[in-house]
Amino acid sequence: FLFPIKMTSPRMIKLTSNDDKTFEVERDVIKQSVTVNTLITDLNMDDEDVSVENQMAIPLPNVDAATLEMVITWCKQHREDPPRNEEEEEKKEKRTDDIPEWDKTFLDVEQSVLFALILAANYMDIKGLLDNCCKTVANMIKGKTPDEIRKHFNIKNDFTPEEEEQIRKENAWCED
Amino acid sequence: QGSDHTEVMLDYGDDKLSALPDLVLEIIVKCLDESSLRLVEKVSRRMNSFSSSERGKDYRRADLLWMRKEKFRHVAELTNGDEVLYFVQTFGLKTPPTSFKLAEKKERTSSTHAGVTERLRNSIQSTNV
Repeated sequence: FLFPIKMTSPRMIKLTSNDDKTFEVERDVIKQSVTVNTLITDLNMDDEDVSVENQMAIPLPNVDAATLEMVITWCKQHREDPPRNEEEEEKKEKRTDDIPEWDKTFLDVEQSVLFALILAANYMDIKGLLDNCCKTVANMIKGKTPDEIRKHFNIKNDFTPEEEEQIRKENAWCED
Repeated sequence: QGSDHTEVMLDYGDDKLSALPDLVLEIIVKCLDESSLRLVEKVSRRMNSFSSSERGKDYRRADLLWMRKEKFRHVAELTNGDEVLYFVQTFGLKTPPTSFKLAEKKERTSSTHAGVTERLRNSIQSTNV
């Protein structure tokens, strides 16, 4: 006997970027975004009876399409990651030599793209992505002099000469 | 600790790092080691406020750095090493970094280390450190 097998397609969620591009993403993938996850729950969007066509798209007014596409790609790659224990993460000393190889390549982008991703990860509350982006920026800072850091990130030195002297004095105790 | 999603973006022109919300900058600074924090302190006011507060928060890391300095070894030996910075500042032995929050340190130590303070005071006076 042949029994019909019920194929259940994955639940899809619609997200709209601030430049009005709509993305369909698996519910299981986007659950890594606490912001989106909370919205889905609060708006009862997990209702199986509502088809994706009739579903309201979740607007993400702080994220543009190009960045949202990258965020979704990251979430797809990390969908099998074990859930983070935020309490443990908070206690741990943050290292920067533990960024997964895939993320290192993925985050090897122009500064403007990386910072857009950081803001999106912060807004969408995707802690794993935010952490790895921040570690990438920290690695860019490490090993540079203050002047090199300024040049690399276009930071303006806004210290007065008096403040600079004060900082120099404060650090004199540890400089051999 | 959640992120602050409501924070308004600050306008720093092309300086995307300084324009990041406070909580994000805090995460970045937390990823830096002691020597990098010390350099970031010298970059700009905004970077200084994060790096110096992060450095000030981590007493043990700062204390250990102080302990490595020969001139404080004696003080370190008299205490358990954890309170070096507090005592150094209390006795005015050397200008400590301003990022170190004396008030916080006092609050942390004063209730439990009054006896140690007294013993250290006597010891320092007698050995003239």
